[in-house]
Amino acid sequence: MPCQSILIVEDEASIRENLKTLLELAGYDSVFTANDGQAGLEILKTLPHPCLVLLDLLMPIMNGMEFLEAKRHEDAIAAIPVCIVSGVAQQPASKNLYEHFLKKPIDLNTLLSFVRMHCGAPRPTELAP
Amino acid sequence: MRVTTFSKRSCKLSVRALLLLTPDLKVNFANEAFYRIFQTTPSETLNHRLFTIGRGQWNSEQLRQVLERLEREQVEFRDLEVFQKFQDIGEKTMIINARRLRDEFNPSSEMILMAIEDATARRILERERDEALHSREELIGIVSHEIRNPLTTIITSLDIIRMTLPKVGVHAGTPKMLDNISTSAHRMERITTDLLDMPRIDSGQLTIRLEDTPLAELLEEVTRLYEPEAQTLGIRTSWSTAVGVGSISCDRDRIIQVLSNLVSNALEFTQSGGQVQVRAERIASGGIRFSVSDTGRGIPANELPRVFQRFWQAKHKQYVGTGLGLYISNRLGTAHGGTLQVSSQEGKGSTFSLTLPAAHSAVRAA
Repeated sequence: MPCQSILIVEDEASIRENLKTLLELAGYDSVFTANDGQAGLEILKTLPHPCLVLLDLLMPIMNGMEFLEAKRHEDAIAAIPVCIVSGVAQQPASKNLYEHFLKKPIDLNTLLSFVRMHCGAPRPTELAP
Repeated sequence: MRVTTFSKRSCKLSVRALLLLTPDLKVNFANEAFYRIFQTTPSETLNHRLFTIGRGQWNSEQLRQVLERLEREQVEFRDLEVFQKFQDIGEKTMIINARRLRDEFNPSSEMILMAIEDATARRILERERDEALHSREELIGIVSHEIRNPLTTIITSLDIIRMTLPKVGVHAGTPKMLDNISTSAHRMERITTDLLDMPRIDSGQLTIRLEDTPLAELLEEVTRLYEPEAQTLGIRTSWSTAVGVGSISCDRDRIIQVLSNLVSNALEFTQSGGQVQVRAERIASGGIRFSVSDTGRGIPANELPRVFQRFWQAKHKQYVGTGLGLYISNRLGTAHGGTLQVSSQEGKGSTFSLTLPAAHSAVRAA
């Protein structure tokens, strides 16, 4: 099975780091991060076998909805599933642009179940349930 | 109803302005409310065409069209809102009702009764209420976002520590997570303070309590609060008080609040590898100037006049924070008899300077 990579697009450093740490502890070794939508888009195009994007919405430079709109027009990355991880009060209406919506503060087990759904079972770790 | 028997006396009691117009729109009668609201006199009004009263100030296209229709086809019109700028009395929002009246004994004699409500004050209140509601909704949105982020850091950090602790013990990332928990909790504390301060500041109920405070102590406290965050972010800092600056009469907690605000903003807008400098110095007048300089992205020149306005940050597309910090800091500086100033160059960085006077006696409301 090819090494599947996960991209976290989040401007809040501590949340970005926590999500990366969590995924690595859970056994997903190929986790990448970006501070805003634009950087996320650039990284996503270069990733080997991306299986999921965890996406914040309110970010500088390019926000999450702009990221989704831009991603839709790039054939190579358009189909990569997205889980929005945001504190916005209302779930964005355009549901065809993303797969899941997780409201901050997030439930880590739900997050891990979405990751498993799209990226498969992780490498076994001491933390694996 | 007969025009001839129409009780002009009872019209006098009406709080609405009433006009009785002839078919060629000359004023046959106006009540006291009309003269009062529109600040005119009977000699300027009676037997004059409506559109010539007050040097043509009633010559509104909107009103003209409706009255013409009333003459030709319609019997009445209701609740027509007319906005008119009068030379003497300013802008007025009027709600006008009018009806054609026929004298049953003399069907060829017709009059138009026009009732005018001055809705100016009501419309202003309604607009203010709408703006207040909008700004409350805006605030709730900002607060929800601003509280959820640090809360997410706290909760995910604790969850990860709880998951790792029994199985792998203290994980390599644990100390960093504890730092993040602490930083996030401080951030929430600041947001809470800002939110609680705002209504007090708006209503002038915030007081400052002056005490003699050593400057070194103020800076030490701010250093203690922000040095860990600066290190985490990879930002170099320098905290300095010129030798012999001594102490100042101020509300210690409030000045720490202002400095905290300025330093946290500086850290927020400065990239890793950048620098934040905090200084306190005695100025020629005997007062003290605190300055917080950063090498961050700076503020565009056209935005500078607005930085101390409420929600300024929030109106920015790339917002972080509640947009209340600088507004509150500025008011706290003013309450001390001081000033908060900003200079900035886009791409180069910003400097915020809080100047406090040498002696400040009374306890003042912000």
